[in-house]
Amino acid sequence: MRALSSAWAEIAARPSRLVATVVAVVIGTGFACAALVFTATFHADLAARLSAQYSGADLVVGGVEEDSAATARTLAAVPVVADAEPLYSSYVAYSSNRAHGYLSLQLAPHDPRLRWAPLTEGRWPQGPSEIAVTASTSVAAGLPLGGTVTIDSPGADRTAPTSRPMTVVGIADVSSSALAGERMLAFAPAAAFPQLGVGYASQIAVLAQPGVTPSSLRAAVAAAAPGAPVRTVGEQATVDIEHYTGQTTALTTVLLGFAAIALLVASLVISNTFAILLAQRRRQIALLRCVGASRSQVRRQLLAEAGMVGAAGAVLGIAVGVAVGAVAASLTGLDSGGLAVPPLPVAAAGLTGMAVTLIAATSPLSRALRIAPLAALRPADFAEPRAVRRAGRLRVALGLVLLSGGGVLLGYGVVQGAVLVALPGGALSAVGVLLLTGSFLPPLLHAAARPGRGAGPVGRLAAANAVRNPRRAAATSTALVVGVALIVMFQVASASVGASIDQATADRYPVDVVVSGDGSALPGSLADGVRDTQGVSGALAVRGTSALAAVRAGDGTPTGPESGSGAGDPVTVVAVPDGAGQVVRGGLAALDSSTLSAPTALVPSWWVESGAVALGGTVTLTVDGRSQPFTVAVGRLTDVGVFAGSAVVVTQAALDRLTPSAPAVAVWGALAPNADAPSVMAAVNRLVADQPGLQVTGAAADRASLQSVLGTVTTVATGLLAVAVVIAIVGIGNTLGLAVAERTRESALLRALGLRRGQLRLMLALEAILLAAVGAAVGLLLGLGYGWAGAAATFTEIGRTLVLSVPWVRVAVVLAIAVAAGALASVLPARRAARIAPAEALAEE
Amino acid sequence: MSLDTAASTVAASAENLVKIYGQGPAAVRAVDGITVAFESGSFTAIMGASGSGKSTLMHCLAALDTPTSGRITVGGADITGLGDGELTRLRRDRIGFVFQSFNLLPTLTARQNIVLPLDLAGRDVDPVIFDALVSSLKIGRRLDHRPSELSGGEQQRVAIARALIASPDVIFADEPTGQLDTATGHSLLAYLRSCARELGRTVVMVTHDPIAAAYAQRAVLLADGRIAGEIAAPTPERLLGAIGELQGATV
Repeated sequence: MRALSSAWAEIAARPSRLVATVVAVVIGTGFACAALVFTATFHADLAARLSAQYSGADLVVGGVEEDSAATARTLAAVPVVADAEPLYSSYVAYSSNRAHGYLSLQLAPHDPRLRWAPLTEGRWPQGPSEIAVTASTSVAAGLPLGGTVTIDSPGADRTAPTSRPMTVVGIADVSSSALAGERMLAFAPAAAFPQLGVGYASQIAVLAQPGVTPSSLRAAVAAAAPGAPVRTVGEQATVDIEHYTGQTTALTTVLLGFAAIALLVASLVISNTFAILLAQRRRQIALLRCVGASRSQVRRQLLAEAGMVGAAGAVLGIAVGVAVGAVAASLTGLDSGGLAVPPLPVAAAGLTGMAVTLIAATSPLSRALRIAPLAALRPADFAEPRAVRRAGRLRVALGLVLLSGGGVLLGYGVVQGAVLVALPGGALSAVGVLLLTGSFLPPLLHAAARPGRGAGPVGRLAAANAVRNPRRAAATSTALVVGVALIVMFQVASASVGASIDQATADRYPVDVVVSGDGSALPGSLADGVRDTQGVSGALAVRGTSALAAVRAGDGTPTGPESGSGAGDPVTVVAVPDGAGQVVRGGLAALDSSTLSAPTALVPSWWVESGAVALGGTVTLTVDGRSQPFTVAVGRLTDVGVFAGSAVVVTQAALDRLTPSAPAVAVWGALAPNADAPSVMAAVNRLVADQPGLQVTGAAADRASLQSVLGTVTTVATGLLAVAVVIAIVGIGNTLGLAVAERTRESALLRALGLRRGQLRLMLALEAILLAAVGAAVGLLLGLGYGWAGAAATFTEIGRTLVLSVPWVRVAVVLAIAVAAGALASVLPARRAARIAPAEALAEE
Repeated sequence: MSLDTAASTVAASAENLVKIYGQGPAAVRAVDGITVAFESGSFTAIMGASGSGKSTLMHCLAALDTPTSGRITVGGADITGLGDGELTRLRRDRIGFVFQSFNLLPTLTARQNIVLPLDLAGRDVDPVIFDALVSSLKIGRRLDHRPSELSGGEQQRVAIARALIASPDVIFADEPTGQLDTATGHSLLAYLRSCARELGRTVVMVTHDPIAAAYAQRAVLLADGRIAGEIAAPTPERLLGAIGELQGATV
């Protein structure tokens, strides 16, 4: 009890000293709680979306193999059942006069109780040609109320025509969330589905007559549909969400990983703060020991202080984290399941925050406990006890061991491409580096401070002050080293991954942009349209025609190289356009055009691989009855483009002989060197939006999707890691603040001797900038090293070449922000310092 | 032996005490073989110039530092080889301290500072003793104030109350009046003397001020880590003379 009350007295005496520590704990704990709340809400939202269709039902019958409509009718005939509807949900293709693509088509229930989506305009569809869409679908697909859309069900049996024009009669309001997918959604009545060739609904919703007990309903339904699983809404939701639980668990794990990093950095700040505070209280602690407090009594009090700080930070952190998680979930539209706060994990996060505080305080605490009682009388001439020096040597030794051992593992993992070896090696070596920061950061700080000496009195003072307590300065900078290193590592790794995959993609697809269809003629203006697109350096129309290809089988009879049928296989013959060297990556050499002389045709590589025809053999192409033999060759170009059937590439002259006026069947375009692949792809896609059947592929398509994924991941990760950097900056401000409190008489003396307020503030800002700059620079070097090592190990393991790419601009921005933030952190302490009255220098102790 | 039979009346003693700081060529023999004993109920002043070893001697006697060689007893028990935990308990229960400055914990009130040793020991305060101390030191009105709200003299009086609250065997005072004005200092010293004479406490005071030392019943003079002289019933004049001789001898 005594420990708690005196700990409280100590904290209450000057609570402002501990604000930064509490802030660090709050941020770290809050991050973890926000992650937990966000993913739990995400999970709840997912569950709500998955179960939305049957949320109004009394029972859900699943696993129906045959005609769902028939089963539903059987169930509806059961006396206690009021209604049973098959919950169709199918992926269909749509085409309006503004856009085409795919959307999810669900049942528009007949019974109002099953209508889960609120209508905002119009009415629910009733006839088989009526459809309702969600508001976002209406906008994206260009389907206002009363508009028409053609729905086609791919994968359906193509013997019967299945595309149907339908009219939009209602617009529903369904909140859409990018994270939960399902942007395009429409509803059609039950009768529409069989006509689209969709007969299967995975679930049938059953509604009971009024007054029917759940158990009798279940019994009756089970009897009517033997063998089919019959579940309540809750049970079905649990089954459905299980499929996704792995993903949400993965998301939780990743986010908690970032939270752990934030807590690690927070622990560095906490440890440093306690070290400074306890050093400032040396005389006090020594006096306690003098008067007879045993080491364990002092330890109990100090632990109580740390515990109170940790508890306060944890409680606040939980509150902040829940709020942030709720806001994040609602901003990303994930709130259809309501806010979910998992109590046990959140409490565990709070306890972790408190535990981290206590653990971080251990080292400064044990140093404080070694203060001899005599220090109360002679604080000045007390050398560090031997035990502390020994601990320092131990730390250095351990750090060297971990660094070298981890480095060896990491090197081996990188060279041999074993990520499982490189990862722990990297982690061990990183811990080693952290242990050694106390040894190599002070000399770096000294070196960095040297220019300050020539910069006038303020610079000299700032330089001297920054390095006067090297261990403390090193500890402060270390937090920033960790934060910056992680961000840079991430940026370098993802940029390298992106560049490497770009390279591999370019090797695989010699053409950046390919617009192609089913082999029918393209509109003449398309090539010009693509050429005029921003970011496209050149585009050519590729002429071609449909043809039949035949090779000689072993017995001499003509057969199709793919199907083996005697009539030959339908292929699309295209000719390399003149000037193709401008749009094909690698120039004409990539076309293997040396092998593409008049009688040669480039055939799909699998024709040769499957043995249908041999290199140098003959393939006969027939167009409108005219046949021509060609010598078989293989090149990179034949595996490009999307056509109905395979593509065979010949020279322009050969094509003209086959069919004199072949139209353009594809467009090849090249991206300008610094073009932004995603925006070019979007522009070209807009060009072909009104032409169903046309697709845009090519290297740029792959690069665009990769870049956008990588871009999102990197931005999110950087944002999450920025939290750790914020904590580190808080640490810098904290150290400065405590130093200012320590140097009150000094600052007063300086002011008395003539230093202006502004100069004093500048002095502190320079100190902060120095700490931040050195920390950021070391972090940059470490991030570059580890980022490269990580990417290299991964790529060697998967057998691809790594292209090292450093996003210098982004990295420079990170550094600039870190240094500026450091300067910003000095503002509050500097104001406090500037307020000291010069007369305080003359006051007696 | 005289030392044995007198053991019950010797509150603290040192026997051939040697204390060396530092190592090798930089070693300093702060105390170079001192044998001294302090009787129960006596008020002794240890005097000397700075560097004479008087503070070091007190530190060793007060279980704040461990001697390089020699023997220390407190309350009749040999404390020379005791470990840190035992020395700590000794300081808490059997020894009281008054320093020149920084005596009190700034975050505790006067009352809390006074009962701190008992608090640490987990013992209850005897209200009779507490009230007697507080009233005799005239600090009854200031008990709930923090040290920053007390004058120098009041702070020292609170420190003395703390030193006495656990009824220790011996009280060590290191220049207790150094920061005080003459009048306050005199009343403090008078109080210490009455503690010894009337209450039977043992007080050992380290000082360089002959006027302060004159309040003691005996003055032990130190020079260069050794006892250079003893004066019973000291007066300021005799003390000044003795110091002058010492300084003359070293010149």
